[in-house]
Amino acid sequence: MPHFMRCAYAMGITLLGTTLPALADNAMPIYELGTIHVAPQGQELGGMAKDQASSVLTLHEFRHFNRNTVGQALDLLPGIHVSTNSRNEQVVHVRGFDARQIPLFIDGIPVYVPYDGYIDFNRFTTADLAAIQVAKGFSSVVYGPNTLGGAINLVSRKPQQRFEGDITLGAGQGNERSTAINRPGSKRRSS
Amino acid sequence: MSEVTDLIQRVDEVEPGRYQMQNVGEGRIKGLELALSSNVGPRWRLGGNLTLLDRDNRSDPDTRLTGVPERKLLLHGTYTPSAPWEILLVLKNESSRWDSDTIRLSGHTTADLGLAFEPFPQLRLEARVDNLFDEDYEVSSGFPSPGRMWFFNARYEF
Repeated sequence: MPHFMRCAYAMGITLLGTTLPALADNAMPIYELGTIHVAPQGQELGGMAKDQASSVLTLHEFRHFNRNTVGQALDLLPGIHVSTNSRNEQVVHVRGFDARQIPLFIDGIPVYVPYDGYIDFNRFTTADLAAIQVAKGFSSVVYGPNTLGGAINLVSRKPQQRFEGDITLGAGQGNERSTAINRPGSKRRSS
Repeated sequence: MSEVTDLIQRVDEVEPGRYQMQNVGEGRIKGLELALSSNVGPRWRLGGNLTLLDRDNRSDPDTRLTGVPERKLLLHGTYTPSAPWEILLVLKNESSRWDSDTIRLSGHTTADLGLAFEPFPQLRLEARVDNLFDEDYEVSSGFPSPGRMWFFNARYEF
């Protein structure tokens, strides 16, 4: 889909390029043909369709609120309840629906737990994520099955510069330690 | 509002140590979400959100819909006293929730306090205390949540 959009966008530009000189040549009264605006969608990070009830969290929020796991981060959003089950796993409810009815995706690829379907949201760190998208309630059929209550999509970080990265070190009470290193590969290969 | 026929719910301890997915009948879920966030003056950023959720089991009110509180309120404030310093306070209040048909876990309020220092843009040092008032609460019956805990965090970006 994004490829198609980009292609259509490029076509729009070329058409515009060829028609403009033609207009300048003959001094005809100006009128406007039906204009088609083709614009790339979802430019904003984690942006979703307007008619979808949704919430988005971005890297800025994970860092500002010190949320190291996806479960902790989701707890910041309205409509989402995070709790811990008897196996000390973080479980998430979106508007009252549990994780079996709101599948988790990483960049659009579903993550399933064959054992019982309950994903431990503690196991996904926010260190490598750019955003978390949460579709609530009735959501796109493109997600696939099991989206009775919505869908959660983790958007991974993409490199912006030739050389970049970050290192995080943390310590907490009771032997809690955390480390994260991000060193993304460069977008273009050096030739 | 959602109306669900044949709502499937996880029921814990049907036998000691076992759980089961059970059909609890017809469910109706109504709710409200509100979220606000704004800068107040040059030094404050305040925000919060509220979730109200009303879940009814229409076919058998004695079988509770478990795991989710009816009210969740989250408030956060960031105060920047002077340039490289930042203070963050997050308050969360959740009302009581049913853990099973008979066990009701009481509501709770927790406060997290954080202090951040950014000597230069690439480096950020943070110290924080979670559950500042050492609230004793459970979100799963028999498994108390962590009490007051401190953390340190350093991040360097290049």
